[in-house]
Amino acid sequence: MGAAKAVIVSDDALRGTDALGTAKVLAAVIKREMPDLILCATESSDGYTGTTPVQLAELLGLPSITFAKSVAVDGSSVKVERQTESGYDEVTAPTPCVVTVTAGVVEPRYPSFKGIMAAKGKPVDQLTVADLGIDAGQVGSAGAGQEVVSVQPAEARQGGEIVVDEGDGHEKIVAFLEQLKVI
Amino acid sequence: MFEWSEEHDMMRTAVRQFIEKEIVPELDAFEHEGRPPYDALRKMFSTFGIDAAARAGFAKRIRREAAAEESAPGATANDRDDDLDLDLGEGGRSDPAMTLIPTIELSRYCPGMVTALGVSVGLTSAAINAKGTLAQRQRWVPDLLSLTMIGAWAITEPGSGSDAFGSMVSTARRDGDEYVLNGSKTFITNGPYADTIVFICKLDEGNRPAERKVLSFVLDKGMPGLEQSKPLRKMGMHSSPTGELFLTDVRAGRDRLIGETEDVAAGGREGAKATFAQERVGVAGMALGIIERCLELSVEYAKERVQFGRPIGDFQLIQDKLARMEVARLNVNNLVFRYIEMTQAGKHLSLAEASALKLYSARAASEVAMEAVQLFGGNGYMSEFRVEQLARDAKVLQIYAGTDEIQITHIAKDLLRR
Ligand SMILES: Cc1cc2nc3c(=O)[nH]c(=O)nc-3n(C[C@H](O)[C@H](O)[C@H](O)COP(=O)(O)OP(=O)(O)OC[C@H]3O[C@@H](n4cnc5c(N)ncnc54)[C@H](O)[C@@H]3O)c2cc1C
Repeated sequence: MGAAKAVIVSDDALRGTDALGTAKVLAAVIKREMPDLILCATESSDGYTGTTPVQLAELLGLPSITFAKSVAVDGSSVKVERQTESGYDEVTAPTPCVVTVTAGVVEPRYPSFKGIMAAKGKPVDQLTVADLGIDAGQVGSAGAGQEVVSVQPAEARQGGEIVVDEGDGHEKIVAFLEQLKVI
Repeated sequence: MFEWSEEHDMMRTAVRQFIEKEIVPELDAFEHEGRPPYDALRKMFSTFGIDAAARAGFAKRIRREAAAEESAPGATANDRDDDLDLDLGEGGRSDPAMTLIPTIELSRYCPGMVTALGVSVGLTSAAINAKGTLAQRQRWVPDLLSLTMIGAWAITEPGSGSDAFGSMVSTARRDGDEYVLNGSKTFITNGPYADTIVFICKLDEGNRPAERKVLSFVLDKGMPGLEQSKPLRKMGMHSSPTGELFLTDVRAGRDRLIGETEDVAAGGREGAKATFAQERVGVAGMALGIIERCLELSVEYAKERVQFGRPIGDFQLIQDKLARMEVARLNVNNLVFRYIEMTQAGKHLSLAEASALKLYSARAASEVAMEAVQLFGGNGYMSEFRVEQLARDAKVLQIYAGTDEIQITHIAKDLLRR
């Protein structure tokens, strides 16, 4: 999609790393690269902690803006529309900074054929924890402040109640809502 | 080559995602409401940078020819009718898969779009590029290759189809420095909307039609005396507008005569052979897309549809259909791979080989799609289940770009001449 290079950190020592450990590793990689803008998603779709991006910003000593529904870079600052419950806030921050974006707001663009042909030639650095100067005891389950003790399937949702409208549908709805003490 | 490369697979995935998101939800508008396909195709081209790559490829080729012409004058003039390359920059090498992948992927849902696309960027631009002067090529080809302009290529007439040159009655007469063109063409893909039309006719010098030279002219939409009909109603390929062209005393300068000369090789009847070969390979790509999709849908349906208490896939007669579809898919896929690998090795398919490939692929696509309809039973006959459209679309692969019978004639002639 147009990336010039990629870095992958792969190390057995990372097994069991928690959100803070992940942020430490990412911070170490990002320090080597010194980017102007660090874009993160809001949360992962497995752990869902949603804390890694802000931890990352803290470790890097950078400002962070979360829940961006649009991001515009203007010289040495970014302007973000930050999603709120009632609408959005307009927030600006100087670069470098960390921004997390909400799902579905930006569609990733398709890679061009030229980009696909060029992709193989783009450098991908593979690093270990040691390459990053991180002590293995700080990451993985050894460094984690939390532990997953068990994984349970979510309870199946109960089937709903189907109300057949025999001319008295509205009465049944009102009765149902009254029973819930909503009205 | 026995499988797609990693890059090919990335392109296939990206193009498929684009089609499923941008085109499939609008399929009914293209197939049943007469929406022309061009804006969707343009969007596909710009999304994947195909338009820019085609323009760059054309410019590069002109430069290469100019350099070759300097060192060996006259050498390039007769060696120009092969595929136009997309220029994909560093790391990008000549690869016919770049055009075959969109062909295959679009044909899974909408073979008509490929017909409209192929006639414009394939046939029409190739006809001008192969025999045109430098000025003519620069005037029309880049705009056609990038879909900025839509092209049509008009040879068929009400009275001349398979015997395209023999029965052709469209004429060009000299009149001062210009030509006056008359005639009517039919079944012309993109005819109703084309901006740039290659019109093929005979030079009438008062001689017998059989002795007349065949000339090609490039016409622009809106020229006085040129009428483009509304789309004709047809069995399939509804997303490809097909129409008639009527020419009444259309005046064309010499700058519109392809090659700007009446001295055309073999009286103009040779055509651009490589163009025909390319068109036939395009049909094989379309067949592959149709077969792949029909097979996928059929396998799914065979597992899901229950009759007599069992999924219909349990019945041997249904298994026979699936197995035959898979054989067809493998064969057509291998023919496509063979063409890609040959082209990458700098070798050309002979015209007879291209005929064999087209004949087999077109028949296979028709058979597979009709068998898919059968496997789906009543649902197969209903539009909702999609194999109905693919079966109607597949049929024309046996008719255009040379009928099955004409391909057979070419293959046999070649065999018996050896
Ligand atoms: C959807 C569609 C799009 C098209 N697009 C274009 C286009 O963009 N430009 C264009 O110029 N044309 C186009 N065509 C025309 C197409 O190329 C012709 O229809 C085709 O070449 C067949 O010609 P015909 O229809 O006149 O059939 P005919 O030539 O009349 O053939 C009738 C039947 O006789 C058979 N036959 C003919 N001669 C022989 C022989 N010697 N031996 C044995 N059998 C024979 C044929 O195979 C066929 O079965 C298109 C057609 C269709 C259907």
